[in-house]
Amino acid sequence: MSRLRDCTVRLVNLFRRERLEHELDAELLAYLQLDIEENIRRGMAPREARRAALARMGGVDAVKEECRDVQRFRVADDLWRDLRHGIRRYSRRPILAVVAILVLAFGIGATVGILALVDSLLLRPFPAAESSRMFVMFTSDYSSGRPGFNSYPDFLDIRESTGEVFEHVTAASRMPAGIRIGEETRVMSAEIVEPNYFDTIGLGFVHGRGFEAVDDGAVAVVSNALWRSEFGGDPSALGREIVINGSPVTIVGVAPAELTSALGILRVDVWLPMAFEQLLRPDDGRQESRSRRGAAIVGRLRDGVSIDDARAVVDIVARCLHQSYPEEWTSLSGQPRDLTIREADQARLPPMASGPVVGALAVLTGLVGILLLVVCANISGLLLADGSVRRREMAMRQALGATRLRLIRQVVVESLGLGLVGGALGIAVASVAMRFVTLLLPDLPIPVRLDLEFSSRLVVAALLVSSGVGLAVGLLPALYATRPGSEVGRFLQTRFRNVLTAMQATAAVFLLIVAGVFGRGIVSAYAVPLGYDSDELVLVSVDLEAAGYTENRGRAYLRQAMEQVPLAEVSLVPFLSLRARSRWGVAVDGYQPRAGEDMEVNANIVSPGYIRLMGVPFVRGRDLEPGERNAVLVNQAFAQRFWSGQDAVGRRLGRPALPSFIGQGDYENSTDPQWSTVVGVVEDGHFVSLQENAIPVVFWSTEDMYTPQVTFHIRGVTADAARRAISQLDPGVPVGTVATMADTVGTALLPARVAAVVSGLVGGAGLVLACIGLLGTLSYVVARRAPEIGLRVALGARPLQVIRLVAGGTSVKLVTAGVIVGGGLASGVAPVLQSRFAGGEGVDLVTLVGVVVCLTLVAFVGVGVPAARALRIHPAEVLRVEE
Amino acid sequence: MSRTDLMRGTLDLLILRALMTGSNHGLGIARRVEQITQGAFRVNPGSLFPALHRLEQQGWLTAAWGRSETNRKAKFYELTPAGRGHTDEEARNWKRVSVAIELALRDLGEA
Repeated sequence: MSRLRDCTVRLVNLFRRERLEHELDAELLAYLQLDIEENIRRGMAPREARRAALARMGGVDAVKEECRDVQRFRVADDLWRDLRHGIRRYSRRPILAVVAILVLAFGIGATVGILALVDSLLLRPFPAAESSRMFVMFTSDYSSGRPGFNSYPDFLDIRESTGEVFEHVTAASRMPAGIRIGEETRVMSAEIVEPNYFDTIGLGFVHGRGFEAVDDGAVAVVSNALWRSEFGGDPSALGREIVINGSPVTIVGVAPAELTSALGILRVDVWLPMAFEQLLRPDDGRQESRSRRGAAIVGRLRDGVSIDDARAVVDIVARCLHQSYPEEWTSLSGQPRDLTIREADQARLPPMASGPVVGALAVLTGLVGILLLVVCANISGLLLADGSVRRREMAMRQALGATRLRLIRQVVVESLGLGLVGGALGIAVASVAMRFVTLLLPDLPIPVRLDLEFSSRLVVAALLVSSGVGLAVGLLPALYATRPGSEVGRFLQTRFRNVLTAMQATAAVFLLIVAGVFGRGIVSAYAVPLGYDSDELVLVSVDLEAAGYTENRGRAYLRQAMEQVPLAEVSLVPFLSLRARSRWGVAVDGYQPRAGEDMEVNANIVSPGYIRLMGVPFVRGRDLEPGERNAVLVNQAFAQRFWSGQDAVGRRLGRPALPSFIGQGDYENSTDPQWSTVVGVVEDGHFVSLQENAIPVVFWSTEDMYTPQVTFHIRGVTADAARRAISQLDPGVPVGTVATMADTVGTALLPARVAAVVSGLVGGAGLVLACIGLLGTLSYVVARRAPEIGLRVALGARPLQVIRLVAGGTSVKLVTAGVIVGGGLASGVAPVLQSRFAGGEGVDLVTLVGVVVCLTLVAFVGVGVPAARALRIHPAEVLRVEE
Repeated sequence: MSRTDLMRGTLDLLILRALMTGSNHGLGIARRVEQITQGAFRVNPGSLFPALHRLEQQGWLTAAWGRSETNRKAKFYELTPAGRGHTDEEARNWKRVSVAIELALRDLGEA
């Protein structure tokens, strides 16, 4: 007990240092005086008495030091002193301190920003009570075999047969919703959920309740954000009526702020019960079909049941479903379809979205990791050069009895301090950058909810990164500064510093080339022939479902639009072709897919005249005719893939079911497939994204397939006129986005543009850092050789010779090495990045030359400044210093 | 027996013993220790003050500023009740050990 007490007192004492010191002084003084008095009483002369007392006391400072040892933790005391010493040192070298802190802030800020992105996209727990027991479940896609969403009847069967391992099983699917609050109708994001959804999640409500089995469907739970923005956070919003897709519903609950979509990071504005869908589309049949799969299955494991136990059960359920419904549960390649179950915390993105997101995050993390390394190398180099300046201080302290460990600690504490200050600044930089990233989001085609906020976890991570960097950059300079003469010291001073400099040059070249690749990719993307004519094309999106239209009414509306809109031509496609990649399964008559072959292809539904409007040339055959049923168009790449380039016209394709809202659909494999015959083959163009290399695309006809999400393509009018013309058709249909094709192309390039900006920033930073590194190294050389240079000048060396002395040999070699290694690495990596994010092929000459020119300029500054300083060296001064 | 450097545990026990008879200041404690050990142990400030602070921190002593007999301001140390108990216990331990050592060394060092 007394040990613990001792420890606490020591800790407390750390914070009352001054009072303790004062008391100690007083106590020792009293002791001394009492001793002197006693000596005098014994008969000594006052002077003698004083001398004897002092002699008995020994060193006052030594006594004090012993007492301090007892009172406090000596290490903490020393650290505090080291830190103060460091602060004094750096306040005498403000430029070094400011440069180091800014560089560290940049590196750490970028790292923390990426960590925040990774954290919010991948690492947050599923928003539910006891999220470790939550799971998500997917049915493998009919055509591709990848995990996808589930059908409603399958969900009911799964829930029925898994009561032993699951406490709750529930389902949610997305629905674009036109929501009218008061006068205005806007397209928002709704999720249709089972009545037990909110019980499964277990987060409760801010106000009101969830859905009950007795509800007739005309009820809604609104999101916390919507409640705040539309109802001002007023509890009386409960019981209010809003109109969703033409049907009035009553608000019965307000969701807690943390509740997001069951489908990952998507934003949800309103939750509706399953019964609402029946209310809205009584004869739709969507809830009876096992081929229409738009439902995410979410659930809660029973207490004590592991995910592996559940997986065993789910596998059996999948086998039973295959036996009961062999048609629907056999994939296109002939294998039984299966069910995938995952812990919800580990599957924050639905499987169809996680690939590209994880890929992009990996690239960003890689770039920032390289940047952080450069930062470390850079600061390490600066401190190493600084260390050579402080050798004298270190030697003196060693002579006065400081141990080497103590001195190393001094240097490391200083760099740790730098790291932490830089880190704090970096966090500030990162939080500003995050706000910037969040501002970019409204442009995204799907409603993403991204909470970029500093969780405590993130702060801990930032602290770890900062102190890790602080330690890493301080250790080698510390080793060097405390033993400059040793073998290690010499190695650190020469070879290692050169390695650091070369490394920075390499990284700068690498980052710059990557940035250049992205940048050039974007520039060339604007120059790429789209395969169609994008000039003066206005795109107007409407959602007929959000207007409460049935299929019959919707078809009538579209026919009316085609006839009445007084514009040159009108065409329609579901989903803006350049924005969403819609991939649906397709059956090709007479083509036997290999086992596991991905039979999903990019597809679009177009009206007769669309291809002509877009200006895409026909290679074979003809366009769709108005009123013609069972006709379809494909592009050259499609014909090449499935018919090896033989004549495609006249071949048959099996039509998919309606796509679900996210753009994922599945082939309706009924016993009597709906076949369409190819009537024309069009040239390959950029129909999906600008990066594509001739992807197979199939164009289904609006005469055969109906979709309520439509984009009108109108040529030859302004955006305003187009919007007016469309809203005049029926003011009740909410008009979504209106954009020109050029805007759309810009949006399609957004990922590449962000990548280019990020890598450009990182590359530019790398360049500046390389410059600082080179400058630091050479400045040190000049400082150390100042006497020699002075002597040479005194003996008549010409300026050019002095410059060659400073800049010659090593620095040129270092930069050259950097260019070669960095260029090599970049040309290896660039094609991979290009294939994923941008167009173009390999590293082009312009980028390469540009980078070399940039680096040469940097080297010129890095060498020039120290060389100029060398030229200013006055022989008389340095020789006097030399003595 | 010459004046011995005090082992830490021994010094603590001697200080506690010296304070059994009443509170005292640093110099007084040093003198009392010399007295009760009949001059065998002399305590110098370099070990006295750290020991006092340590014992205070462990809760066996309390300290307060007061006046010496010559009316000088000095810091006075006093045993706490817990400190008394601790002193008794330590004294018993020490006696047990010293008897054992005595036994072990009985026939050595006589000559």
